[in-house]
Amino acid sequence: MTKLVATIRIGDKIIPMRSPVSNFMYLLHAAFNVNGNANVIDTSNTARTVGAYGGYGWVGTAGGTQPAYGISTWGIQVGSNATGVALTDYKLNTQIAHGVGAGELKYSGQNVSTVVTASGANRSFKIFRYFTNDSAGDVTIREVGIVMQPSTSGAVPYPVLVARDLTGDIVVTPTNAVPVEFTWQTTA
Amino acid sequence: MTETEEEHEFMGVEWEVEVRDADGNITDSKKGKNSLLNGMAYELLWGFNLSVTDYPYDITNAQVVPTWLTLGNMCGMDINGAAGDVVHGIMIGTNNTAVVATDYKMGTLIANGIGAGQMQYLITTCNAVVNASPRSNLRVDRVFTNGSPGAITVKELGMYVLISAAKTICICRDVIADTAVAAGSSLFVKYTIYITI
Repeated sequence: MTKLVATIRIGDKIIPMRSPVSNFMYLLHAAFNVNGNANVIDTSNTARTVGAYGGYGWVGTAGGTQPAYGISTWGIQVGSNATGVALTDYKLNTQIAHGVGAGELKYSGQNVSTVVTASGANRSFKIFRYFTNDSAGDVTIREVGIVMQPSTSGAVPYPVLVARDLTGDIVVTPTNAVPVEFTWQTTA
Repeated sequence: MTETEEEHEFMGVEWEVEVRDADGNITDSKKGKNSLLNGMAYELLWGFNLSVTDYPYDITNAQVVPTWLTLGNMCGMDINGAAGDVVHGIMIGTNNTAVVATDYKMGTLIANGIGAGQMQYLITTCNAVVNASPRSNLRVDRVFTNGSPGAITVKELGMYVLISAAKTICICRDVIADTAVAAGSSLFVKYTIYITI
């Protein structure tokens, strides 16, 4: 049997991605109903209708555009709160802001790989982003998430959290950077 | 990462079949876990990452670009097969050759109709998402009726989706124990796609 699995690498630590949230399923439902819509909750806790035009990238936007340096409203996000994951999560509990102030990290641009052959018939791809600590003190990451920007009929992209996972304490010391990488793959 | 952790599925699929006689009584039922095919993974990966250039294979074994550009939906996977439709929706077949990840179609698709060896395909229904923590479920189902003169033995199930106007890919296929559907009886097939936090 083939499975679809995902992992998260954060620094030197690799953990399974366990927690797609209900928004993910609403978007999948919309994909199955090509002319249908998904009623999701965006990161401001507002119900949005997306999906009929929502194929414009689950991670990127139309044409595969990815969030640039300093854009922290979507893409891979990191946070500092270890509250357990719920299906209804619509944002990280306490997102770490982009910046160089106390408790902040700098968000790099996000990159994606093309699908590659992992082993035999398996396929995989990665999205990744760096978080750099240019503040004066340690910053501890405890949660990571992926926020997509599915487009809408009004062409207004709303940020929608599709996965949130707890990482355990990942301490980023000043002047250091930590890569966060999500890998999806099929596996026999 | 331990072996157990590594095997946490990002998304799982379960199937269930029920045979009902002409009076609506259930005479047989089975359930199991799905054999997800690369086709599904390709399509999801495409939806995640539009720069992907390694496209899925359609049911003719040709690599196709999954686009719904005219609808503006580049990762659409239309599963809503109408009555009699054998290019998208849940499919059934008679071939029990073991599933491999690279399967791109059903082994031997049962044709739509009322002739010998044929069954009538009713519509495929994609139901609303149901959240029941820790799972979120999305059920797709279809009823098949046997209006032919004799019994038909179903040995495989699967799901086809349209990823562009005339391109069908097989996203999953399962071999099941022989399931006989007598003349006048029907087969109810349910696939449940789920995530678990």
